[in-house]
Amino acid sequence: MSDVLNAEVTSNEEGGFSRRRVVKGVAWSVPVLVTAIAVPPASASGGKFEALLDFNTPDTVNFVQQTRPAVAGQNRPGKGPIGFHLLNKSGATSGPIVGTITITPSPATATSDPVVGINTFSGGTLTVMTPPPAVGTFSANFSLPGGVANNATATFLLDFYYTGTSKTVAIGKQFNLTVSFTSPTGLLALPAVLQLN
Amino acid sequence: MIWHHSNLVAEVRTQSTGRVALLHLDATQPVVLEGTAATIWELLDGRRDQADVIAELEAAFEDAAGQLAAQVEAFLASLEAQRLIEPAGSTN
Repeated sequence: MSDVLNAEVTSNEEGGFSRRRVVKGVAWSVPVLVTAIAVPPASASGGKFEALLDFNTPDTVNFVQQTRPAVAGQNRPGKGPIGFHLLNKSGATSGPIVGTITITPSPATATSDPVVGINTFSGGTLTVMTPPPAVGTFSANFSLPGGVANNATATFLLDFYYTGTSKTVAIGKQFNLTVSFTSPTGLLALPAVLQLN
Repeated sequence: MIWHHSNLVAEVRTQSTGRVALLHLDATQPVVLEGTAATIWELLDGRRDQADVIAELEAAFEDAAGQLAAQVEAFLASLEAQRLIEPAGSTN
């Protein structure tokens, strides 16, 4: 943040986008939100708001093939979280929780490669980008309007689907999952890697 | 859809690096936008609609993987979820 200390403080630009900042031909890269200050590791003590991804032990999940979920042998095992939880030790009710879950291929995939999205979600309301993408990044918003009471835990469970009709194409594919939301302690982002096996 | 920056967001930027730091006044931690994220932020001026933003980015960047539009849409959803942007016509 040191360079920010020397930065020019501005209000929203009336003039809008300056083309000086973009040179035609620059390679596109995924736009991301980055927290400026690291969030301390979650702790059940000290008046904190804990947010953690939850995993099976060992780290295993099941990816349901979206187009043929009932066909034996088409669902794939893999690695990734089974959900996340929020433990509120802040001393007050959290207020509404709203956030975003994104799942992005890593690296960027060809058009024939699968998309991974959220198959089922519980613990809150999930609003999936409509329609889900045929290729690339899956995105959905989630919310818990009632928030999390003090000294309470909200648990969200999820599992995943993958698209395509070929399980062999899906094997070995990796995706970056990020759960981000605003909590009483600020913006939290929970990253994880998903892998189809 | 036309987006504008939330009036409850304080903004600091460095011209030299193109970084933009944002703090929603109800939050306790800022976020930083760099690269394409900062470029998108600049394009959200309350006048361009989402299609205009994507068109300008497609004109400015090489998108070999064809992911640009979907990634911009997901990024805008993230900004909205963090209450950093609002649909034009809304008020705080």
